[in-house]
Amino acid sequence: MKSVELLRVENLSKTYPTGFFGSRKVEALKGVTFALDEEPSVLGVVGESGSGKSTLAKIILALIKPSAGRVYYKGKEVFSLKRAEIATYRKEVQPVFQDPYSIYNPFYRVDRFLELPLKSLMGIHSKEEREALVVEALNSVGLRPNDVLGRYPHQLSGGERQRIMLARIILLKPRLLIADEPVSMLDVSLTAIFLTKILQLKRLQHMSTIFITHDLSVAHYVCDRLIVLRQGLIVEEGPADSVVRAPQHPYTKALVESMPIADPRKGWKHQEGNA
Amino acid sequence: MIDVGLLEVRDLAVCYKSLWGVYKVLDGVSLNVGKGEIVGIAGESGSGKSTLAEGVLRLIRPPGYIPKGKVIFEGVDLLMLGEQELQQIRWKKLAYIPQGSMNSLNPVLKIGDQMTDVMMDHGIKDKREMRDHIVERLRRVGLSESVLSRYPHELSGGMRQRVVIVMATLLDPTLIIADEPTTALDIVSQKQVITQIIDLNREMGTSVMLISHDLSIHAQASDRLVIMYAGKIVEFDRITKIFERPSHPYTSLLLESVPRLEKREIKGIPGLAPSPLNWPSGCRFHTRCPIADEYCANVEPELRMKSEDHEAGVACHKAG
Amino acid sequence: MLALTAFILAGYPFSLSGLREDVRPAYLAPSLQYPLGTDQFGRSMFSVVIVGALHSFEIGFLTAVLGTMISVVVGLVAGYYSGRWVDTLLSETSRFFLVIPAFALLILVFSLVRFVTVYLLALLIALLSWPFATFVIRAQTLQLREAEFVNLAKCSGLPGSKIIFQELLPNLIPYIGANFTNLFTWAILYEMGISVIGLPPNQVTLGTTLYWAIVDDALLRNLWWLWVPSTVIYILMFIFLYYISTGLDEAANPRLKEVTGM
Repeated sequence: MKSVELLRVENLSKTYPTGFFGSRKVEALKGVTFALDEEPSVLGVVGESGSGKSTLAKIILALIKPSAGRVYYKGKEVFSLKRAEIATYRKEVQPVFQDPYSIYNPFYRVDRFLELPLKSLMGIHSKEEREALVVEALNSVGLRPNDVLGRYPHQLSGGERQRIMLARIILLKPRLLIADEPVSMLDVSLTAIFLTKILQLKRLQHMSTIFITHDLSVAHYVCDRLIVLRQGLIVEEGPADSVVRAPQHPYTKALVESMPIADPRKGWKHQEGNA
Repeated sequence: MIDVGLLEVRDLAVCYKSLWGVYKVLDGVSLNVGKGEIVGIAGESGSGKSTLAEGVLRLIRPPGYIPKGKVIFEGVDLLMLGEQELQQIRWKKLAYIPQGSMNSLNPVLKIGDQMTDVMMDHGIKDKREMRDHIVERLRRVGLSESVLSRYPHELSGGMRQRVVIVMATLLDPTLIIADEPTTALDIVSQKQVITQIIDLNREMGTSVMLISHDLSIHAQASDRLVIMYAGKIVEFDRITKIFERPSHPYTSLLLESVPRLEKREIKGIPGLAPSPLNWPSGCRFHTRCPIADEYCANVEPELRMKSEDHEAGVACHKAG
Repeated sequence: MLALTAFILAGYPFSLSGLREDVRPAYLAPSLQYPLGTDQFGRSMFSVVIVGALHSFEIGFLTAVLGTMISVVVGLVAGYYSGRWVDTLLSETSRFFLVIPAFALLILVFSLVRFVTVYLLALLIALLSWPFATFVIRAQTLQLREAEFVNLAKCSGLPGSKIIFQELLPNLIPYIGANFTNLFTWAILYEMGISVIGLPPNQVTLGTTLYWAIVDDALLRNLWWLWVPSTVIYILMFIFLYYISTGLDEAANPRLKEVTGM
C-alpha cells in the first residue's frame, strides 16, 4: 500500500516545553494520522490558531522534528533520509507561507529570492538559463520582469510580493506544496488568482497541495478532502463537500455555522437571539 | 428612509508627501451615513478605505495631510474643529475601532483598570455606576465579569476584540467606525464580533461604518455597501442590489472572486492595483476593466446617482 | 566633518613618523622650531603626539577588528545552533571569559611582561573583551533565526553554514558595527588607563604621554604642552567614534523609514 501513497503522516505528536526551565508542556500535536495518494489532490487542513496546523506544516517540511510518530514520503521515512535523498525531498516539497513580507530577506533584492533555489535545488548553474526561467515565471503570474527585478522587497507592493512567491513555486515545480494560510493576508482578487493557480498546477503539473487555512469557504472551494484539526487532534475528515454540508463533529458544526454566507438575504441579520 | 444626516463626507481627500512625489491615497470621496444604518466600506488594500476612516476622524499625521473636503458630523464640520472640541466628540459620540485594536490593549494593565482609565480620561468619575454599566455591556456580548480582572494576554483574540468594542461603546456613541474588526480572528470569533456590532445597531440604534475587504461579512452585516477603488468610490447601493445586480464592472468582478458554496469557478481581476503615486488617466479602473474603451481611458467618470433618494450611485461610463 | 579630522590624524603619522628620539633640550615650551615644544626626553612633542595618536588608534583598531571577528563568529554560531551542544559549549566558554576582570588581568600581565608592544596590548584586550559583544550578537541571532525567510532558505536547500553567513549576517551589520566602535572605544580607554597608572607599553602612545605628564607634575609646573595635545586628540577620537556609531544606526533604519513613509 505504501508505494501508492505520496505522503503518509503516522501518529505524529509534538510537544513543546514552556515556562521556566521547561516545566510546562504544550502538546501541539497529539497523534495525527493521514495520507495523501499519488493521484494529485488538494487536502485541506482546517483549524484555528492553537490547533497545531502550523506545527504540522513545519514538520512535514522537515523544519522541526516530531516528538513522536513518523512521516513517510513516497514510502521512505523523511527523518531518516540520507544527504542526497534530503536534497530531492527539499526539491519536491515546497512551502508557501502566510506573510508576503517576512518570507523575504530584506537585505537582498528579490532576484536572489527566485534564483537561489534554481541554483541550489535544481542545479541550474547557467546564469542565462536562470534568468530566462525567471522571466517566464514572472510573466505567467502577471508581473512585468522590468517592474520587479532589481528591487528590494520593501519597494514592492504586497500583491507583487505574493505573486513573486507564486512565481517561485512555478519555477520549482514541486510535487507537494505545503501552503500554510497562503491567502489570509491577500486581497480577494489575488486570492482568486492563487486558488486558480493551485488548481491549474494540480492539473497540468501533477502537483498535490496540503492547504492549511482557517477559512472554510476557501477550503471548500479549492480542496478535494478536508481534515479538521482541533487542539492537535483530527476531529473530522472526509470529502470537502460532505464535511461542509453535513458536518458530523460538533466542532465542525460550530465552524460551519459561523461561516459568513455571501448572500445578504440569508444569515446573521435575520437571525433572532444571536449568541 | 435615510436621513442624510448623521455623517456626511464631502469630497474628502488625503495625500501623503514623499521623496517620490505625492501619494493621493484618497482622492475626493463623498458619502453619507444615516441614523441607525450600517454602511459597509469594501475595497482591496490600496483602495483607501482605512485612510477614509482616519481622515474622517482627523487622525492623519504628517507626512499625510488633508488638502480638501468636509466631514460633517451631526451638523458640525469635524475638519474645522480644534483639538479640544474634537476630544469631546471622540469616544462620546464617535467611536473608533482601528485595525488590530485587539492588540493595542495595554499588556500590563488588567482589563478593568483600562476601562476605568479611559472613562476617567473623559471625565467620568462615578466608578460604581460605571462598573455596573460595564458589567451589563459585557454580559450582553456573552463575556463574564471575571474578564475585568484579567490581563489582555489571558484572553483570546476574539474576546479581546469584543472587549475593545465594549470599551469603545460604553458611552453609547451615535456612530462607530470599525476598521477591519475581524481580520486575524478565527471564524467563530468573527461571527461573535460581527453579531455584537449588529446588536449594537439593532438595540441602541448606533450607526456603523464597517470597513472590511470581506464581501461575505458585508453580506451579513451591512445595510448599504460602498465599493472603493483607487482612492475613489465606484459604486454604492443597498446590499441586496449590490449582490444581485452590480452596476460597476469592478463590483461584478469582485463578487465573482468570492468563493461561495455553490462551486462556481472564481475568477480574479487581471492586472495589478495601480499606485497612488500615479493614478491611471480617465477612469482609474480602465487598465483592468473588461469593457473599457478609449473614452474610459481619457475621461474620469462622475459618481452619478442611480436613484432619486441618493441611496445608490455608480461611477462608470458604461453603467446603464 | 569629524571624519575629516580623523583622516588628517591618520594621514600625518604616515608621513612624519620619522621624527622620533632626539636628544635635544628637554621641556622646551612651544616655539616655531618645535610646534608643541619638547617632552621630558627631549623629543619633539609634535612628533610624539602624532606617533602616539597613531599607536593608540592602532590599538583601538586592531582590538576592534580581532574582537569583532571572534564575537561575530561565536555569536552567530551559538545563536543559530542554540538548543544543541554547540551553543552550550560556546556560551559557557564566553561566560567564563566574561567574568574575568579585564583590567586586573591586564595589570597583572603588564607587570610581568618586560616588553609590551602595541600589538600585544591589542591582542590581550581583544581576548578579554570579546564575550560582551558575543552575547548581544547571539541574542540577535536567536531572534532572527525564527524569521520566515530563514525557514524558506532551509526549504531552498541552503545548509546551516550558508544560512548563517548569507542570510543572518547581513541583517546583523548594524549590531556588528556598533560592536566594532564599542570595542574600539574600550580598547583606547583601557590603554589610557593602563598607561596612566604606571604600566605603559614600551611604545609611544597617547596614554604614555599622559603618564609621563603626570609623573612630571606637568599640571603644577604649567607645562601644558605635555598633556593638552593628547587630551584634545582623545576627545576628538571619542567624538569621531560616537558619530560613526550613530551613523551606523541610521544606516540600518532608512529602509524602515521608506516603508513607513507611505
